Amino acid sequence: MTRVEIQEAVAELLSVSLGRQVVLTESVTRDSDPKWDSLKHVQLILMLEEHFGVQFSEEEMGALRSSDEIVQAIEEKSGT
Amino acid sequence: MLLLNTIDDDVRATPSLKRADLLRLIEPPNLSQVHLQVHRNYAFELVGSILPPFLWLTRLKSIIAYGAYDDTLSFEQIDPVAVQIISLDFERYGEHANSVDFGGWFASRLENLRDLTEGPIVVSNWPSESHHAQRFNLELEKTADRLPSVFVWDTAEIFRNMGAEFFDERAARAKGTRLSNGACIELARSLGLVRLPSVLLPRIKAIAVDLDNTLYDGVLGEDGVEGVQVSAEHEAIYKELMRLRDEGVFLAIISKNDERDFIELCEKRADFLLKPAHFSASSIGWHPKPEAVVRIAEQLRIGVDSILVVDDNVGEIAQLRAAHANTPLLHSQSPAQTLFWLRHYPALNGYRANSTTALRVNDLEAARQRDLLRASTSSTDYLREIQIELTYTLNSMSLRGRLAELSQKTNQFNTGLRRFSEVEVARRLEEPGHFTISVGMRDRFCDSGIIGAIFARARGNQLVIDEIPVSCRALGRSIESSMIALALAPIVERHGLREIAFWFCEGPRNLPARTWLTSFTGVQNISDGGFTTVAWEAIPQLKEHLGVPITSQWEQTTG
Repeated sequence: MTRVEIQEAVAELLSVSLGRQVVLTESVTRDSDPKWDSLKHVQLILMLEEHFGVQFSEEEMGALRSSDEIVQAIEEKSGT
Repeated sequence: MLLLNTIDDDVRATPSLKRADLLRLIEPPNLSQVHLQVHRNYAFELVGSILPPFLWLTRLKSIIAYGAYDDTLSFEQIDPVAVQIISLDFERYGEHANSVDFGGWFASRLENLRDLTEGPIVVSNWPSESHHAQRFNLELEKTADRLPSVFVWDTAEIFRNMGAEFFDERAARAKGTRLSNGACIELARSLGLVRLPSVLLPRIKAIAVDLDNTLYDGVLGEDGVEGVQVSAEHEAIYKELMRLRDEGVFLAIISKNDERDFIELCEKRADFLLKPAHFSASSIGWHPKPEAVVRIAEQLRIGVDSILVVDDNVGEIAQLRAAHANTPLLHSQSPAQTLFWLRHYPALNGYRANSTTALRVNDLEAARQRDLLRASTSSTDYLREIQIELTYTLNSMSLRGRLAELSQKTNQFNTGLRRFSEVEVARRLEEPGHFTISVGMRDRFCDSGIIGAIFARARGNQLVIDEIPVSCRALGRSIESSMIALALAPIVERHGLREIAFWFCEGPRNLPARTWLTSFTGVQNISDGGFTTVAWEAIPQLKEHLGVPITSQWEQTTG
């Protein structure tokens, strides 16, 4: 899976989770988007795990705070 | 019936359903709100957030209120109009949950909640293999049977089906729950498709199934009896249909075929487990499906909106949808999908069985036999010939579910339309001076079970009748007046009452009740939303009503 494909999928799942369109080039952070609350965050992590077939530890869940960090973490986990 | 009327190629039936698939679904318009109040000690939000897409199929939009995590179940600020949901992680109670006292404590909390609200209470059981959990779940079933309008949500069954995948301890603290994502999805699916609809909606009364490419693969008229294919999934469909029939849901065939071919299929194919006797109605011929479903409704004496039609032909599904906007429809696209929906179709499963529901299927054939007899005998001979036996029970708590069902669902012969809830019925059963009578009926053709109720109370020298609902299955034997007079007579005499005051409320379909009340009381102008009062001794033909050739007895209250 290429970085762009991961970025596209993350943007789409963020859109589903936050209930608004997130575009590929947009960098979203938990601090900048009030809709990204703790429930939405857990839901997003569960959807990322479903989609990419990866698992996040408790520490990783807490550490992921932006779309860029998520893309990077998935790249590392999926070995792309 | 409030269902969205067609379930088609639906993501909600996918075995490995994903959270994102559900959250991508778009809310349909014109949904009714249902308020849910959740009492929990874990992050139920991960279930609640994906519950709406399932409830949308029943045209409901859930408004969920969550309290703080509360292991003690203190039930503060109860919303009286909400469905109450209790869902606990029992492992949080540690060794306390394993003690004998725990079940008693939990039952007392349920009793407390029951006292605080009249709405339905849904309580999840304990998903665990431990013998403590199994003992707790058995006790919970008994408590739910004892308390009105309390329904167990069988999460233990989902746990048994999923095994180790039910829990995911990996990030339990971050998620707020030990439940896996898959378990959350299955719990939402079970709550939204089965448990809540069964609490909130009347049950679908019949399933009309197509034959070709629905009950087998192939076309009977072209492939022949030996040419159609029956798979293991088809056999599972037959068993599901027979299970539903055993629970009182009528089965019918709706098919463009030659009836002789269907009979031959039943006779020659041992693997086609369904037989003509399993079907209470049929329309096998070349009628358009919208007309065929009307024929089936007439045979079953029910409305077309109470029949779920299962058909593989998208064109015929579209015709049905256009002609009968409120008839629930299932577009059968594969045996696996049909099987899933027979187990999960909203308002079809999850209903509490009572002694009367399973008797309905036999009642229809008996009604046909009665009609034949009536046509060939005088009315007095007819009553003697059919050998009616009425059994009355006074203030029986064990019948409260059936009594409430009669009050809420009976439309044609319902004098008061008071629509008593199970909680209200339970209260009346315990209230001094209130008389709640159940009427059981059997005749030489069948046992119809509890088919009527009388909700009465003493007021001075009057017996006030708040409501009399009689199931339409009991009508047509011309014994309504006798049935009611025989029930009232001992109460009037024992309590020295002189007058009967019938509350009457007119509804869209209860003309039969008004007609009966006019005839029974001799009062021509029945007041709508008021009392019609008549002296007991002045009831026209009272002696004749009490002297009809039918057997009646009073049964001892069992609980």
